[in-house]
Amino acid sequence: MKRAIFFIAILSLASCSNTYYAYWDNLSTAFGSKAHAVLTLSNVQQSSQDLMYVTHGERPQAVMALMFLEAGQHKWVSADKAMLIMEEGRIVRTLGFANDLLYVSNTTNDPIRHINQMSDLSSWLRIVDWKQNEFGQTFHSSFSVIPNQLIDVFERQITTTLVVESVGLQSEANFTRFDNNWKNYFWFDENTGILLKSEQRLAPFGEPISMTYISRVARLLPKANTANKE
Amino acid sequence: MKIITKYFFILTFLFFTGFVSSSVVVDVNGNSQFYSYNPRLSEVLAPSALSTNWYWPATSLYQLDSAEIELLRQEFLISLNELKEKYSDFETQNALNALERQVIAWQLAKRIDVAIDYDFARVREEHNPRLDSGVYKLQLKTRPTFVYLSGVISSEMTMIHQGTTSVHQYINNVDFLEADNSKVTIIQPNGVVLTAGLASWNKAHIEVMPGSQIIIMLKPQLFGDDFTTINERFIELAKHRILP
Repeated sequence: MKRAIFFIAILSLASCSNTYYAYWDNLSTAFGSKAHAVLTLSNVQQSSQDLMYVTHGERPQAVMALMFLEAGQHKWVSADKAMLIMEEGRIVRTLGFANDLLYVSNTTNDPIRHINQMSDLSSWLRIVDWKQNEFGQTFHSSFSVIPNQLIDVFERQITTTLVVESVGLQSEANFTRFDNNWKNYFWFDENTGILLKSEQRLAPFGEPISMTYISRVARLLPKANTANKE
Repeated sequence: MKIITKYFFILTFLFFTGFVSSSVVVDVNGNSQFYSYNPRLSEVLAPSALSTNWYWPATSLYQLDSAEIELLRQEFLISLNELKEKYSDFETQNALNALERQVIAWQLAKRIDVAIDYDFARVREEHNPRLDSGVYKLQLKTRPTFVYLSGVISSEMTMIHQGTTSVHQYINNVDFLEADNSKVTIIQPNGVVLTAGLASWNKAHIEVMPGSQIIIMLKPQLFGDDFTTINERFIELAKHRILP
Protein backbone atom coordinates (compact mmCIF):
# COMPACT_ATOMS: atom_id res chain seq x y z
CA MET A 1 0.00 0.00 0.00
CA LYS A 2 1.55 3.21 -1.00
CA ARG A 3 1.81 6.22 1.25
CA ALA A 4 0.62 8.46 -1.57
CA ILE A 5 -2.05 9.99 0.65
CA PHE A 6 -0.07 13.18 0.95
CA PHE A 7 0.72 13.76 -2.70
CA ILE A 8 -2.05 15.77 -4.28
CA ALA A 9 -2.96 14.59 -7.77
CA ILE A 10 -4.97 16.42 -10.34
CA LEU A 11 -8.12 14.42 -10.48
CA SER A 12 -10.38 13.86 -13.40
CA LEU A 13 -14.03 13.66 -12.80
CA ALA A 14 -15.20 10.15 -13.61
CA SER A 15 -18.76 9.42 -14.41
CA CYS A 16 -20.10 6.89 -11.98
CA SER A 17 -23.55 5.67 -11.13
CA ASN A 18 -22.74 5.04 -7.49
CA THR A 19 -23.72 8.04 -5.38
CA TYR A 20 -20.73 7.61 -3.09
CA TYR A 21 -18.26 7.80 -5.94
CA ALA A 22 -20.11 10.79 -7.41
CA TYR A 23 -19.92 12.54 -4.05
CA TRP A 24 -16.20 11.82 -3.84
CA ASP A 25 -15.77 13.27 -7.31
CA ASN A 26 -17.39 16.47 -6.04
CA LEU A 27 -14.91 16.55 -3.20
CA SER A 28 -11.98 16.41 -5.57
CA THR A 29 -12.06 20.12 -6.34
CA ALA A 30 -11.34 20.77 -2.66
CA PHE A 31 -8.08 18.89 -2.66
CA GLY A 32 -6.19 21.35 -4.79
CA SER A 33 -3.58 20.68 -7.38
CA LYS A 34 -0.30 21.64 -5.75
CA ALA A 35 2.04 19.38 -3.83
CA HIS A 36 1.91 21.63 -0.75
CA ALA A 37 -1.75 22.47 -0.40
CA VAL A 38 -2.67 25.96 0.77
CA LEU A 39 -6.23 27.26 0.64
CA THR A 40 -7.46 30.78 1.25
CA LEU A 41 -9.82 31.57 4.09
CA SER A 42 -12.38 32.57 1.49
CA ASN A 43 -12.07 29.22 -0.31
CA VAL A 44 -12.52 27.33 2.91
CA GLN A 45 -15.46 29.42 4.08
CA GLN A 46 -17.18 28.88 0.75
CA SER A 47 -16.52 25.16 0.66
CA SER A 48 -19.56 22.99 1.22
CA GLN A 49 -17.34 20.24 2.63
CA ASP A 50 -15.42 20.37 5.88
CA LEU A 51 -11.69 20.41 5.18
CA MET A 52 -8.49 19.90 7.11
CA TYR A 53 -4.79 20.23 6.42
CA VAL A 54 -2.76 17.11 7.05
CA THR A 55 0.97 16.56 7.17
CA HIS A 56 2.58 13.19 7.74
CA GLY A 57 6.20 13.32 8.81
CA GLU A 58 8.18 15.42 6.33
CA ARG A 59 5.74 15.02 3.45
CA PRO A 60 4.04 18.04 1.85
CA GLN A 61 0.87 19.38 3.38
CA ALA A 62 -2.29 17.91 1.91
CA VAL A 63 -6.00 18.58 2.24
CA MET A 64 -8.50 16.01 3.39
CA ALA A 65 -12.26 16.37 3.16
CA LEU A 66 -14.90 15.09 5.54
CA MET A 67 -16.74 12.43 3.58
CA PHE A 68 -18.85 10.79 6.28
CA LEU A 69 -20.02 11.83 9.71
CA GLU A 70 -21.76 8.80 11.14
CA ALA A 71 -21.93 6.50 14.13
CA GLY A 72 -19.93 8.99 16.17
CA GLN A 73 -17.04 9.02 13.72
CA HIS A 74 -15.57 11.60 11.40
CA LYS A 75 -14.26 9.93 8.24
CA TRP A 76 -11.82 12.02 6.25
CA VAL A 77 -10.68 11.17 2.73
CA SER A 78 -7.66 12.29 0.73
CA ALA A 79 -7.17 12.91 -2.96
CA ASP A 80 -5.88 9.37 -3.44
CA LYS A 81 -8.72 7.87 -1.41
CA ALA A 82 -6.91 7.07 1.79
CA MET A 83 -8.90 7.63 4.95
CA LEU A 84 -8.46 8.76 8.53
CA ILE A 85 -11.29 7.75 10.82
CA MET A 86 -11.62 9.67 14.06
CA GLU A 87 -13.68 9.71 17.19
CA GLU A 88 -13.77 13.10 18.92
CA GLY A 89 -10.47 13.99 17.28
CA ARG A 90 -8.68 10.73 18.07
CA ILE A 91 -7.52 8.67 15.06
CA VAL A 92 -9.03 5.21 15.62
CA ARG A 93 -8.56 3.67 12.17
CA THR A 94 -6.73 4.30 8.92
CA LEU A 95 -7.26 2.97 5.42
CA GLY A 96 -4.78 3.03 2.59
CA PHE A 97 -1.63 3.47 4.64
CA ALA A 98 1.36 1.14 4.38
CA ASN A 99 0.51 -0.27 7.81
CA ASP A 100 -3.10 0.53 8.61
CA LEU A 101 -4.34 1.08 12.14
CA LEU A 102 -7.11 -1.51 12.46
CA TYR A 103 -8.51 -1.08 15.94
CA VAL A 104 -8.34 0.95 19.15
CA SER A 105 -10.18 -0.33 22.22
CA ASN A 106 -11.81 1.59 25.07
CA THR A 107 -12.39 4.74 23.01
CA THR A 108 -15.42 5.76 25.05
CA ASN A 109 -13.10 6.40 27.99
CA ASP A 110 -10.64 8.54 26.05
CA PRO A 111 -10.21 11.72 28.13
CA ILE A 112 -9.89 13.77 24.92
CA ARG A 113 -13.67 13.41 24.61
CA HIS A 114 -14.21 15.30 27.85
CA ILE A 115 -11.61 18.03 28.11
CA ASN A 116 -13.73 19.97 30.59
CA GLN A 117 -13.21 17.12 33.02
CA MET A 118 -9.56 16.61 32.22
CA SER A 119 -6.95 16.92 34.92
CA ASP A 120 -3.42 15.76 35.59
CA LEU A 121 -4.98 12.63 37.05
CA SER A 122 -6.66 11.69 33.76
CA SER A 123 -5.36 8.53 32.13
CA TRP A 124 -6.28 6.14 29.35
CA LEU A 125 -5.41 2.51 28.69
CA ARG A 126 -6.20 0.76 25.41
CA ILE A 127 -5.08 -2.02 23.11
CA VAL A 128 -4.31 -1.40 19.48
CA ASP A 129 -4.03 -3.53 16.32
CA TRP A 130 -2.12 -2.75 13.12
CA LYS A 131 -2.38 -4.64 9.87
CA GLN A 132 1.28 -5.64 9.70
CA ASN A 133 2.14 -8.02 12.51
CA GLU A 134 1.19 -5.94 15.56
CA PHE A 135 -1.87 -7.13 17.44
CA GLY A 136 -2.88 -6.26 20.96
CA GLN A 137 -0.28 -3.61 21.84
CA THR A 138 -1.18 -1.90 25.12
CA PHE A 139 -0.71 1.85 25.41
CA HIS A 140 -1.11 4.02 28.46
CA SER A 141 -1.64 7.79 28.38
CA SER A 142 -1.48 10.56 30.92
CA PHE A 143 -2.47 14.15 30.20
CA SER A 144 -1.57 17.70 31.08
CA VAL A 145 -3.46 20.88 30.22
CA ILE A 146 -1.76 24.13 29.21
CA PRO A 147 -4.03 27.17 28.67
CA ASN A 148 -3.42 30.24 26.54
CA GLN A 149 -1.46 28.65 23.73
CA LEU A 150 -1.51 30.45 20.38
CA ILE A 151 -1.75 28.73 17.02
CA ASP A 152 -1.40 30.38 13.59
CA VAL A 153 -4.04 29.61 10.98
CA PHE A 154 -4.92 31.80 7.98
CA GLU A 155 -2.32 34.31 9.27
CA ARG A 156 -4.32 34.81 12.41
CA GLN A 157 -3.46 33.86 15.94
CA ILE A 158 -6.04 31.85 17.80
CA THR A 159 -5.94 31.27 21.53
CA THR A 160 -6.24 27.66 22.49
CA THR A 161 -6.03 25.24 25.37
CA LEU A 162 -3.32 22.70 24.67
CA VAL A 163 -3.68 19.15 25.94
CA VAL A 164 -0.42 17.23 25.96
CA GLU A 165 -0.80 13.46 26.02
CA SER A 166 2.16 11.41 27.18
CA VAL A 167 1.91 7.94 25.64
CA GLY A 168 3.83 4.89 26.76
CA LEU A 169 3.93 1.32 25.54
CA GLN A 170 2.87 -1.10 28.25
CA SER A 171 3.52 -4.39 26.47
CA GLU A 172 6.54 -6.00 24.87
CA ALA A 173 6.69 -4.78 21.32
CA ASN A 174 7.83 -6.03 18.00
CA PHE A 175 9.62 -2.71 17.49
CA THR A 176 12.14 -2.47 20.29
CA ARG A 177 14.39 -0.30 18.16
CA PHE A 178 12.09 2.70 18.62
CA ASP A 179 11.47 4.95 21.60
CA ASN A 180 8.42 3.53 23.32
CA ASN A 181 7.31 6.86 24.78
CA TRP A 182 6.10 9.90 22.90
CA LYS A 183 3.73 12.84 23.10
CA ASN A 184 0.56 13.77 21.24
CA TYR A 185 -0.87 17.29 21.15
CA PHE A 186 -4.43 18.60 20.93
CA TRP A 187 -5.27 22.32 20.61
CA PHE A 188 -8.84 23.29 21.59
CA ASP A 189 -10.34 26.71 20.94
CA GLU A 190 -10.33 28.46 24.28
CA ASN A 191 -13.82 29.91 23.86
CA THR A 192 -15.79 27.11 22.25
CA GLY A 193 -13.76 24.06 23.25
CA ILE A 194 -13.71 22.87 19.64
CA LEU A 195 -10.66 20.88 18.56
CA LEU A 196 -8.78 23.00 16.01
CA LYS A 197 -5.51 21.18 15.62
CA SER A 198 -3.82 17.99 16.72
CA GLU A 199 -0.60 16.12 16.23
CA GLN A 200 -0.77 12.39 16.82
CA ARG A 201 1.75 9.62 16.55
CA LEU A 202 -0.11 6.36 16.38
CA ALA A 203 2.75 4.07 17.33
CA PRO A 204 6.46 4.15 18.17
CA PHE A 205 7.22 3.19 14.58
CA GLY A 206 4.91 5.84 13.12
CA GLU A 207 5.64 9.38 12.00
CA PRO A 208 3.53 12.14 13.55
CA ILE A 209 0.35 13.09 11.73
CA SER A 210 -0.53 16.75 12.09
CA MET A 211 -4.11 17.85 11.41
CA THR A 212 -5.42 21.44 11.28
CA TYR A 213 -9.20 21.66 11.03
CA ILE A 214 -9.28 24.65 8.70
CA SER A 215 -13.07 24.63 8.24
CA ARG A 216 -13.62 24.76 11.98
CA VAL A 217 -11.16 27.63 12.23
CA ALA A 218 -12.83 29.38 9.30
CA ARG A 219 -16.19 29.26 11.06
CA LEU A 220 -14.69 31.06 14.04
CA LEU A 221 -13.36 33.90 11.89
CA PRO A 222 -15.22 36.77 10.23
CA LYS A 223 -16.34 36.20 6.66
CA ALA A 224 -13.43 36.84 4.32
CA ASN A 225 -13.86 39.42 1.59
CA THR A 226 -13.75 37.36 -1.60
CA ALA A 227 -12.27 40.31 -3.45
CA ASN A 228 -9.18 40.24 -1.21
CA LYS A 229 -6.56 37.55 -1.47
CA GLU A 230 -5.74 36.22 2.02
CA MET B 1 -27.44 -27.19 4.95
CA LYS B 2 -30.92 -26.11 6.16
CA ILE B 3 -30.12 -22.49 5.25
CA ILE B 4 -28.96 -23.55 1.77
CA THR B 5 -32.11 -25.64 1.22
CA LYS B 6 -34.41 -22.83 2.34
CA TYR B 7 -32.81 -20.23 0.12
CA PHE B 8 -32.52 -22.62 -2.81
CA PHE B 9 -36.29 -23.11 -2.90
CA ILE B 10 -36.95 -19.39 -2.55
CA LEU B 11 -34.53 -18.63 -5.35
CA THR B 12 -35.95 -21.33 -7.61
CA PHE B 13 -39.52 -20.15 -7.02
CA LEU B 14 -38.63 -16.57 -7.81
CA PHE B 15 -36.77 -17.59 -10.95
CA PHE B 16 -39.45 -19.85 -12.41
CA THR B 17 -42.25 -17.42 -11.69
CA GLY B 18 -40.32 -14.99 -13.84
CA PHE B 19 -40.35 -12.55 -10.97
CA VAL B 20 -36.63 -12.04 -11.22
CA SER B 21 -34.01 -12.95 -13.76
CA SER B 22 -31.25 -12.51 -11.25
CA SER B 23 -31.42 -12.49 -7.52
CA VAL B 24 -29.18 -12.46 -4.53
CA VAL B 25 -29.93 -13.66 -1.06
CA VAL B 26 -27.55 -12.78 1.74
CA ASP B 27 -27.69 -14.06 5.28
CA VAL B 28 -26.10 -11.34 7.38
CA ASN B 29 -25.50 -12.61 10.91
CA GLY B 30 -28.79 -14.51 10.76
CA ASN B 31 -30.85 -11.84 9.02
CA SER B 32 -31.89 -12.40 5.41
CA GLN B 33 -31.54 -9.73 2.77
CA PHE B 34 -33.09 -10.27 -0.68
CA TYR B 35 -32.17 -8.46 -3.88
CA SER B 36 -33.83 -8.77 -7.29
CA TYR B 37 -30.69 -7.39 -8.90
CA ASN B 38 -26.94 -7.76 -8.33
CA PRO B 39 -26.14 -5.44 -5.43
CA ARG B 40 -22.77 -3.96 -4.65
CA LEU B 41 -21.03 -5.02 -1.47
CA SER B 42 -21.66 -1.60 0.14
CA GLU B 43 -25.40 -2.02 -0.35
CA VAL B 44 -25.34 -5.40 1.34
CA LEU B 45 -23.30 -4.00 4.22
CA ALA B 46 -25.32 -0.80 4.63
CA PRO B 47 -28.14 -2.07 6.90
CA SER B 48 -25.66 -3.40 9.48
CA ALA B 49 -22.39 -1.58 8.91
CA LEU B 50 -22.83 1.19 11.44
CA SER B 51 -24.71 -0.67 14.16
CA THR B 52 -21.57 -1.95 15.89
CA ASN B 53 -17.84 -1.33 15.84
CA TRP B 54 -17.12 -4.26 13.48
CA TYR B 55 -13.61 -5.62 13.13
CA TRP B 56 -13.52 -5.46 9.35
CA PRO B 57 -10.51 -7.76 8.81
CA ALA B 58 -12.54 -10.56 10.41
CA THR B 59 -15.53 -10.07 8.13
CA SER B 60 -16.03 -12.80 5.56
CA LEU B 61 -18.37 -13.54 2.68
CA TYR B 62 -19.22 -17.06 1.57
CA GLN B 63 -21.21 -18.32 -1.37
CA LEU B 64 -23.46 -21.09 -0.09
CA ASP B 65 -24.84 -22.38 -3.39
CA SER B 66 -21.51 -23.43 -4.85
CA ALA B 67 -20.51 -27.10 -4.84
CA GLU B 68 -16.86 -26.30 -5.47
CA ILE B 69 -15.57 -26.54 -1.91
CA GLU B 70 -17.53 -29.67 -1.06
CA LEU B 71 -15.91 -31.32 -4.09
CA LEU B 72 -12.53 -30.20 -2.78
CA ARG B 73 -13.33 -31.78 0.56
CA GLN B 74 -14.28 -35.09 -1.06
CA GLU B 75 -11.13 -35.06 -3.19
CA PHE B 76 -9.06 -34.37 -0.08
CA LEU B 77 -10.63 -37.28 1.80
CA ILE B 78 -10.04 -39.60 -1.13
CA SER B 79 -6.40 -38.52 -1.31
CA LEU B 80 -6.08 -39.00 2.42
CA ASN B 81 -7.41 -42.55 2.22
CA GLU B 82 -4.91 -43.33 -0.51
CA LEU B 83 -2.11 -42.10 1.73
CA LYS B 84 -3.42 -44.17 4.62
CA GLU B 85 -3.15 -47.26 2.42
CA LYS B 86 0.30 -46.28 1.26
CA TYR B 87 1.84 -45.33 4.65
CA SER B 88 1.00 -47.90 7.27
CA ASP B 89 3.27 -46.81 10.13
CA PHE B 90 1.46 -45.83 13.30
CA GLU B 91 2.68 -42.22 13.49
CA THR B 92 1.62 -41.37 9.95
CA GLN B 93 -1.72 -43.16 10.34
CA ASN B 94 -2.35 -41.20 13.52
CA ALA B 95 -1.55 -37.91 11.82
CA LEU B 96 -3.66 -38.65 8.77
CA ASN B 97 -6.59 -39.73 10.93
CA ALA B 98 -6.37 -36.43 12.81
CA LEU B 99 -6.60 -34.48 9.54
CA GLU B 100 -9.51 -36.62 8.41
CA ARG B 101 -11.49 -36.10 11.64
CA GLN B 102 -11.03 -32.34 11.42
CA VAL B 103 -11.92 -31.92 7.75
CA ILE B 104 -15.04 -34.07 8.08
CA ALA B 105 -16.27 -31.92 10.94
CA TRP B 106 -15.56 -28.53 9.34
CA GLN B 107 -18.35 -26.29 8.12
CA LEU B 108 -17.15 -25.26 4.66
CA ALA B 109 -18.37 -22.87 1.99
CA LYS B 110 -16.73 -21.02 -0.86
CA ARG B 111 -15.14 -17.94 0.62
CA ILE B 112 -15.28 -14.97 -1.71
CA ASP B 113 -11.84 -13.45 -2.07
CA VAL B 114 -12.59 -9.79 -1.38
CA ALA B 115 -11.35 -7.45 1.36
CA ILE B 116 -14.49 -6.29 3.15
CA ASP B 117 -14.58 -2.82 4.63
CA TYR B 118 -17.68 -0.64 4.46
CA ASP B 119 -15.76 2.63 4.39
CA PHE B 120 -13.27 1.53 1.76
CA ALA B 121 -16.08 0.03 -0.33
CA ARG B 122 -17.77 3.42 -0.51
CA VAL B 123 -14.60 5.23 -1.50
CA ARG B 124 -12.78 2.77 -3.74
CA GLU B 125 -14.80 1.02 -6.42
CA GLU B 126 -12.35 -1.87 -6.61
CA HIS B 127 -13.34 -2.73 -3.03
CA ASN B 128 -17.03 -2.69 -3.91
CA PRO B 129 -17.78 -5.53 -6.33
CA ARG B 130 -21.24 -6.57 -7.41
CA LEU B 131 -22.43 -9.91 -6.09
CA ASP B 132 -23.29 -12.52 -8.70
CA SER B 133 -26.69 -14.12 -8.41
CA GLY B 134 -26.69 -16.69 -5.66
CA VAL B 135 -26.99 -17.38 -1.97
CA TYR B 136 -24.45 -15.90 0.41
CA LYS B 137 -23.50 -15.79 4.03
CA LEU B 138 -21.88 -12.63 5.37
CA GLN B 139 -20.26 -12.83 8.78
CA LEU B 140 -19.76 -9.51 10.53
CA LYS B 141 -17.66 -9.81 13.68
CA THR B 142 -16.43 -7.63 16.45
CA ARG B 143 -12.77 -8.10 17.36
CA PRO B 144 -12.35 -11.87 17.70
CA THR B 145 -11.30 -13.32 21.01
CA PHE B 146 -9.85 -16.62 19.89
CA VAL B 147 -7.37 -18.27 17.56
CA TYR B 148 -7.92 -21.77 16.18
CA LEU B 149 -5.29 -24.52 16.03
CA SER B 150 -5.68 -27.44 13.65
CA GLY B 151 -3.62 -29.86 11.62
CA VAL B 152 -1.48 -32.75 12.82
CA ILE B 153 -2.33 -32.40 16.48
CA SER B 154 -4.40 -34.90 18.43
CA SER B 155 -7.43 -32.61 18.45
CA GLU B 156 -8.27 -29.12 17.33
CA MET B 157 -7.86 -26.37 19.89
CA THR B 158 -9.41 -23.00 20.46
CA MET B 159 -7.15 -20.63 22.37
CA ILE B 160 -7.66 -17.14 23.71
CA HIS B 161 -5.88 -14.51 21.61
CA GLN B 162 -2.94 -12.93 23.43
CA GLY B 163 -1.66 -9.48 22.59
CA THR B 164 1.91 -9.01 21.30
CA THR B 165 2.34 -12.77 21.39
CA SER B 166 4.35 -14.64 18.81
CA VAL B 167 2.84 -17.72 17.20
CA HIS B 168 5.47 -19.89 18.90
CA GLN B 169 3.94 -19.20 22.27
CA TYR B 170 0.57 -20.57 21.16
CA ILE B 171 2.03 -23.93 20.17
CA ASN B 172 4.65 -24.36 22.90
CA ASN B 173 2.70 -26.95 24.86
CA VAL B 174 0.72 -28.44 21.99
CA ASP B 175 1.20 -32.15 21.38
CA PHE B 176 2.38 -32.53 17.78
CA LEU B 177 1.85 -35.74 15.88
CA GLU B 178 4.03 -36.43 12.82
CA ALA B 179 4.40 -32.67 12.33
CA ASP B 180 6.65 -30.23 10.55
CA ASN B 181 8.63 -28.64 13.37
CA SER B 182 10.21 -25.98 11.16
CA LYS B 183 7.16 -23.88 10.34
CA VAL B 184 3.45 -23.33 10.76
CA THR B 185 0.87 -21.71 8.53
CA ILE B 186 -1.27 -18.82 9.76
CA ILE B 187 -4.54 -18.05 7.97
CA GLN B 188 -5.68 -14.61 9.09
CA PRO B 189 -9.42 -14.00 9.26
CA ASN B 190 -9.08 -11.68 6.25
CA GLY B 191 -7.87 -14.66 4.22
CA VAL B 192 -4.19 -13.70 4.15
CA VAL B 193 -1.93 -16.77 4.47
CA LEU B 194 1.42 -16.47 6.22
CA THR B 195 4.21 -18.89 7.03
CA ALA B 196 5.95 -18.56 10.38
CA GLY B 197 9.30 -20.23 11.02
CA LEU B 198 9.69 -22.25 14.21
CA ALA B 199 13.22 -23.55 14.01
CA SER B 200 16.26 -21.77 15.41
CA TRP B 201 17.39 -20.93 11.87
CA ASN B 202 14.11 -19.38 10.68
CA LYS B 203 12.35 -18.23 13.82
CA ALA B 204 10.92 -14.70 13.83
CA HIS B 205 8.43 -12.83 15.98
CA ILE B 206 5.20 -13.29 14.03
CA GLU B 207 2.06 -12.16 15.80
CA VAL B 208 -1.34 -13.61 15.13
CA MET B 209 -4.33 -11.51 14.11
CA PRO B 210 -7.34 -12.18 16.36
CA GLY B 211 -9.53 -14.83 14.77
CA SER B 212 -6.68 -16.50 12.88
CA GLN B 213 -6.19 -20.19 12.23
CA ILE B 214 -2.80 -21.70 13.10
CA ILE B 215 -2.14 -24.84 11.10
CA ILE B 216 0.43 -27.46 12.05
CA MET B 217 1.37 -29.38 8.95
CA LEU B 218 2.54 -32.88 8.19
CA LYS B 219 6.28 -33.39 8.35
CA PRO B 220 7.59 -33.21 4.77
CA GLN B 221 9.15 -36.29 3.29
CA LEU B 222 12.82 -36.46 2.37
CA PHE B 223 11.85 -38.05 -0.93
CA GLY B 224 8.46 -37.54 -2.54
CA ASP B 225 5.87 -34.83 -2.17
CA ASP B 226 2.76 -36.73 -1.03
CA PHE B 227 2.71 -34.92 2.28
CA THR B 228 3.44 -31.52 0.73
CA THR B 229 0.43 -31.95 -1.51
CA ILE B 230 -1.87 -33.00 1.30
CA ASN B 231 -0.67 -30.04 3.38
CA GLU B 232 -1.51 -27.67 0.54
CA ARG B 233 -4.97 -29.16 0.17
CA PHE B 234 -5.61 -28.97 3.91
CA ILE B 235 -4.67 -25.30 3.94
CA GLU B 236 -6.83 -24.64 0.88
CA LEU B 237 -9.83 -26.17 2.64
CA ALA B 238 -9.09 -24.25 5.84
CA LYS B 239 -9.34 -20.98 3.87
CA HIS B 240 -12.98 -21.83 3.18
CA ARG B 241 -13.82 -22.78 6.70
CA ILE B 242 -16.73 -21.00 8.41
CA LEU B 243 -15.52 -20.20 11.91
CA PRO B 244 -17.69 -19.15 14.86
